[in-house]
Amino acid sequence: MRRVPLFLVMLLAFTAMAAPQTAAQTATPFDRSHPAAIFGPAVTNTTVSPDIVIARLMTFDRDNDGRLVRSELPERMQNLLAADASGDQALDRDEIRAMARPAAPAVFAATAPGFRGGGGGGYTFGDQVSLSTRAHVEGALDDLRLTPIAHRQALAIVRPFMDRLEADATAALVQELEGQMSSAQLDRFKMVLDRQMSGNTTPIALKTRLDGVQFNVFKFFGPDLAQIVNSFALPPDQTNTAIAAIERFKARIRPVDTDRSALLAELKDVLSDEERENFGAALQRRPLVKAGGVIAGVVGGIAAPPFPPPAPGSAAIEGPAVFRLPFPPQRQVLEP
Amino acid sequence: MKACLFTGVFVWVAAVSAIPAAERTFRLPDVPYQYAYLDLPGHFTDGAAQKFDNTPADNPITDAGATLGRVLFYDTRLSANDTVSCGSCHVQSHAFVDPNRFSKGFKGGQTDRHAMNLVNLRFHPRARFFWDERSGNLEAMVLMPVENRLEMGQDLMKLPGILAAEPRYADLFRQAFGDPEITNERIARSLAQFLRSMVSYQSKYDDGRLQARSSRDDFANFTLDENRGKALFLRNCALCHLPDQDAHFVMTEPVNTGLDEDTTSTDGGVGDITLKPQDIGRFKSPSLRNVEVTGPYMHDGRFATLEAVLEHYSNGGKNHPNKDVRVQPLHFTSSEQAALVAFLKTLTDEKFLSDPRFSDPFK
Repeated sequence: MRRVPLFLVMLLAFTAMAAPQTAAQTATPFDRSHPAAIFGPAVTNTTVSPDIVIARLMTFDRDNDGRLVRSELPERMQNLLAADASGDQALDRDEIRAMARPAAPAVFAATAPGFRGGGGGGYTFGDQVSLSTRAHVEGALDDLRLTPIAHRQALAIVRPFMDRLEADATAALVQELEGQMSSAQLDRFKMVLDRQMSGNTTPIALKTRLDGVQFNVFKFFGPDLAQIVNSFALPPDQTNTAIAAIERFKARIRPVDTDRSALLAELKDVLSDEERENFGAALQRRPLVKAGGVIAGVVGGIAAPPFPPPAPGSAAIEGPAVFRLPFPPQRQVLEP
Repeated sequence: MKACLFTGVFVWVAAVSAIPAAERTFRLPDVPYQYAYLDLPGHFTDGAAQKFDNTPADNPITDAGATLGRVLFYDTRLSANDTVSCGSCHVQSHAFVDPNRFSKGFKGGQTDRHAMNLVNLRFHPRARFFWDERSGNLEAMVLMPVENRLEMGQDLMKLPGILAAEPRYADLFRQAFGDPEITNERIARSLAQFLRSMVSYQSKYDDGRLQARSSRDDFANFTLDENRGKALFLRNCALCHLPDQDAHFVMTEPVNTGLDEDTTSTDGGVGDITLKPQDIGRFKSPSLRNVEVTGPYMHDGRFATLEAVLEHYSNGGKNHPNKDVRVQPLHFTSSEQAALVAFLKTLTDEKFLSDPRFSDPFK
């Protein structure tokens, strides 16, 4: 019984995430009146006003009579004269204004605060929607294409560093939320938070690839933390306080300048100067994802560790591995 | 003596000028080239990649249709004064862009945008073309430069008659469409077939992808730098340039990348066609396949090199109010830029750039 709503939510989320991008347009040849204004889901909260559009067009008004005739417009824009409502073979400001109405704001904008601009319409920073900062950091390390030994040594520094960052941020968040919600609600919140922070490492199935390698499939269900708070139907003040705390938490788990400097200093004996420079640059970036209200899906991870176990006496590597693929990428094997 | 020399030169110039255009003839292979069937690799034919194909049901690629399109593409008679063809500005060795920033029209006038590449137009899922996406399908797009008063200046009412003067066209049209009638619609259909047949799929990237399980695997045929560049590309660029599949390095919608801050006096791109405020400064993005040879870059060819393009994205572009959310400062280091350029060069498809099926039959 409990699985039905979970399944439905996941299905809905997949549908929402998969729908907008690749709808092929079946074009009819020679339909020159094909409406050029249809641009799919990419509708956003622009600050360009219709007045600017009018001002743009009036730069073509060579005789300054307030009317644009065909000969004044570049050839590629002359189809605009189809909007000549008065029939005087020219466009005036009112006719341009009628065409220059902005489209409605994008639905997804609500989950992507501060985002605007043409295109996209459904993108946000991964850390805004509870995607793992740890995965980004470890991915950036992976991108350096280190030797396996160097990679292992670097991970042995990076993972405890991220553990500390996340533990501090989590403790601060929980402390801020205490008193804002009931203990049952807080327990529920902590459970979701733990799933997200841990990379959801509870396997639900063990699959075997064609090449015989086995991998786990993990259940991955993570509504945005703010949505969890909203689902508690707390009084507005408490909801706002809790959501503000979540925003601070999201900021805390992102390595800021001082964090990055500290981490890079710790890596001094493992990475070359160039590698540290590249890693530092990668850490400055914030990965973008397609935005949606719910993050749901199934991710897989190889049952066996992707790298050989550490040699006896070397630092142990702990912490979960988070893969977004059904199998980890294969890397070139480099001789140390 | 001088007068004699002058007269000789004059006579020679006059004679050369008087050679009728019809004498510029084309050669086609005895066995027609194959255009309709392509042995595309798996990453082109999987479900997500296939959805990018914009071939309309009523104009599939045929060998005869694309052959006719090839001849038309390179025929200068499509311009008003018989001086330029489509191929004059869309040069095969440059993946069908003009290596010059702007192109010269039939009277010598300059365009104000860079000629777009014609690589894999078949796999632009929205099937909208030109930098401002003013064309709603390829069949309509192909005739627009032909009749453009700056580019080729041809009168479409006269074009079928002009082509009918070349006796060999009758046979080409008959083979392509069943009878020798020459119409603008058939001209457009065959040109569109030829353009859709221009598929680049044999780059170093494609070879590597064929041997790997996923684009995220390191490719066995790549250098370390190329694999590093690929990883950087997948992490930072693929959300836009390789959406949801591994074959088509093409964006699914026009984007404002923050090239300009000014909203009033710079090229409005899509916004100048739709007049929607949110479209101002948005431009179509061409395929990144063969991007090594398609410079200069951007709609106005403002960046001469790939390094300059990467520098733009590294800085995050200018603050245009319509700048796409995905254009964020990427802070690429010089070593990362070099790796990214190394990866982008793996998209070069030498076979495509020299494929005789796409070459000028008038040479």
